[in-house]
Amino acid sequence: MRALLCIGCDSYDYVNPVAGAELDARRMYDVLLQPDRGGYDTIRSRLVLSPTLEQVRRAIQEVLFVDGQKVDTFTFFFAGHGAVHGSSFYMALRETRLDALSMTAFSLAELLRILNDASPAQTNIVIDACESGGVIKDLGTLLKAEGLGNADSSGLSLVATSAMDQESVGTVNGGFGTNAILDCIEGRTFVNDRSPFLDLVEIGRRVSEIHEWPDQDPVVHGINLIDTPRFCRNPKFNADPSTPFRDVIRDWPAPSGEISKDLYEALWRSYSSLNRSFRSDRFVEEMSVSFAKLADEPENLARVAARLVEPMSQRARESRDVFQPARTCAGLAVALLPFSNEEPIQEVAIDLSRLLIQELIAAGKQLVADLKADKYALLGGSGGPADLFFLPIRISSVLGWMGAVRLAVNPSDEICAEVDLIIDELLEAIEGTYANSILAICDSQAASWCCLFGALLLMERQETAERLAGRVFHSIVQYGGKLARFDISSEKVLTFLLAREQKSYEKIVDLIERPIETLTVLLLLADRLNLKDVWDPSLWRLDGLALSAFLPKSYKEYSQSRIDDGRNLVWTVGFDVFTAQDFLKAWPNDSPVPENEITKLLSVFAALLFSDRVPWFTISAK
Amino acid sequence: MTSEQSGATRRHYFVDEDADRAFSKSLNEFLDALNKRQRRQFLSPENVQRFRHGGTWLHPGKPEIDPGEMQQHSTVAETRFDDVVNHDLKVLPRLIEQISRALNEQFFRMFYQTVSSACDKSGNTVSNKAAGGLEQALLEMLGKIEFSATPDGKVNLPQIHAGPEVAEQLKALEEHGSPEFKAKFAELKERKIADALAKEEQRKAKFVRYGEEL
Repeated sequence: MRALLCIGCDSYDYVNPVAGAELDARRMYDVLLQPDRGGYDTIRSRLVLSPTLEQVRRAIQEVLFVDGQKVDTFTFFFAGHGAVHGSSFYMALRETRLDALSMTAFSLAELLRILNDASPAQTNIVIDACESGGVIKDLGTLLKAEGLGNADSSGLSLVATSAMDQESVGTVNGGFGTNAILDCIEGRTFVNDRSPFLDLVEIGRRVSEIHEWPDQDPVVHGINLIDTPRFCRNPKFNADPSTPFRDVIRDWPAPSGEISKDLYEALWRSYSSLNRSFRSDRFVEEMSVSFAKLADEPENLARVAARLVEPMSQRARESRDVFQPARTCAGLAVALLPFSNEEPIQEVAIDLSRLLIQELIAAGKQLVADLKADKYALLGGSGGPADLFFLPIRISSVLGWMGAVRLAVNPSDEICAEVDLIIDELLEAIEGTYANSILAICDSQAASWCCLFGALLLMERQETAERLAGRVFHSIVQYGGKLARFDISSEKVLTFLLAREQKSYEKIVDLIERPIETLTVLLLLADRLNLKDVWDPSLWRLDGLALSAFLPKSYKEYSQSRIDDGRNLVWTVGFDVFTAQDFLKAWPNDSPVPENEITKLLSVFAALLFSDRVPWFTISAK
Repeated sequence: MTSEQSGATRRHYFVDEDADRAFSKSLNEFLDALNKRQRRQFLSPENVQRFRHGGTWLHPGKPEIDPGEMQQHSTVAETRFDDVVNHDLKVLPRLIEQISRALNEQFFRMFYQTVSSACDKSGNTVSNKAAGGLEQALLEMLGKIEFSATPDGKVNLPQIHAGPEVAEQLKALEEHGSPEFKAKFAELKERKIADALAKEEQRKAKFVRYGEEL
């Protein structure tokens, strides 16, 4: 129960009136009662304006002493005349006489005695009055109170808007001190953005820092602050969307207690790229390097990786790319692959994989919906000639990622049927509008084709797989096997397309991938797709074309930007391959397989993220 | 570094590091293009392959071919601070020539070593002395070589790479060789051409079909 008592005294019988005190009390009361500001109880709280002493005592009784309803946070606000007399500070009320303060004014000492009796867990006192710094005279007594420091003892925060020997200034629009405090409560003045609640002491310090009032200095006291202070809600909490990410970096375990500058910048770079200019390969590389700093501390690494997921996913959601959250999740998981021997890392990787599957399902559903609403939804920004190159790659990417989900889910899992439906709907939509863009144009598509066809075979969509594979094979034959190199720069795409249109490649030899892996994927599937006899008659058109497959020593290496351990297998049509069967006979029997399920899952997504490696094990089972 | 500051902590004065990197990149591209042009004399760019990972390759379809392995070619080139400070533009052609020459030398050495090793392994070597003279050696060499033909019937004649002295001798032979030598050479060449065409037909026959259906 949070309760509030606001007192504003403009009118006095025996003292000069004050301008703006009632306004201050009313404003403070109104703001702190708002659920998203103070959240104080609207029934229990009280606002008294220019009251008598009796009215104040009655209001306090109504706020603090109601049977069965203990107040745990109590805030007391006073604006009006104040004075120090003897060993106490007095708040002047309507009938106060300056020559009889102890009998006619409300002393802080009395308030403290009452609070000692009511013992709310936290008390916040704000006094906007002259000489209010004189509260120290009463606080000294409080410091000697018995029980102070015990776990169940009360805490007190107090802000006095002027020093003991100063006046508290204001206008008809309110006191300077109250206005400054209200600015913090309502977010016009920044205090912090890290905590959901603001502490009165912190507000007081902030006001002290920034105020420019001549001859008036706020005084701030905090006594016995045991529990988390909750004066009011923090309007700036999480206002900076990067706050959660900054928190993770701030808490990054470092031997020196502080993260190194290089690591800090690397992490920020990775984070910043998530909603724009995202390069998945670079993201994995940078996160791998960052994670490697904690390679010897798997528990810490697991904790940090787990904490990064939410802020990074949040940032990724700011991207217009629907698949961005999934790619981010995949990137984080793949970056953990080198460390996945450790149990804490395996647990995080499994959690990430589950999240990744959910993200991909959501992305797939969204794409299906978008295609139903707009059949051209897969076209890029301007939908112009650039998509002659990028659209086929985009199509293979969405199909490849959805294929990867299907490869990742357990067939007995109930979401399997959901994934199958999404893939079926997606294929129907894509084949309906984009059939002629289902083609091979760049060797970076090899991994996507591998995942798609592997999934279709798993789903027993033989006919669909045959049809699509046929389209891709035909496109390779049509253009003589001349696919763009996987890392072709965007500036060279036009040159490539012009040469492709002319089927004249002499001047762009360096833009052509040699050998290619896309044909290897297709030939590896030729038997299972019953397409050997269909394709063999066309192979002469690819005479001289080199095809390859890089087989790593271990698929655990698939998260590295460059994999050193492994062998490149090379074939050449017209030299050692004349039929699909020639190729299949020569595929090695000792082709490696992933060591465990986690490696299997993550290496598939690594292949999609890097686009320069293929998860052969998904299709190469003989 | 001869300046007082070490590289990592050198202070900068209007230095644009991105521009510096862009210049290095363009220089590398220039050198790369230059080297490729020079290599084209010996190696068609269609026969140049690129691997993204690993350092070895093998041919499962032709296991008798030895696995290949990457070799690193490198060179160091220096540019003196004083030359830059004195705006000596000749720094550029000197640098380019130095790097290009060094890398080309390494490439050609590797190229000839590879060809030579293959010849040694297959026994495709001829000794001038053992053959009894240049005419006989040349005929013996021609006898050991296989010509290749393209699918459209064009036969690729072999190239002869020789040092200056031998090249002169070969030129002289071409002009002043004995009629018997010239006749034998011509006959051998025709036979090799026919063999090449026949071999190419055999190769094409390994496909299910070759050429458009009539």
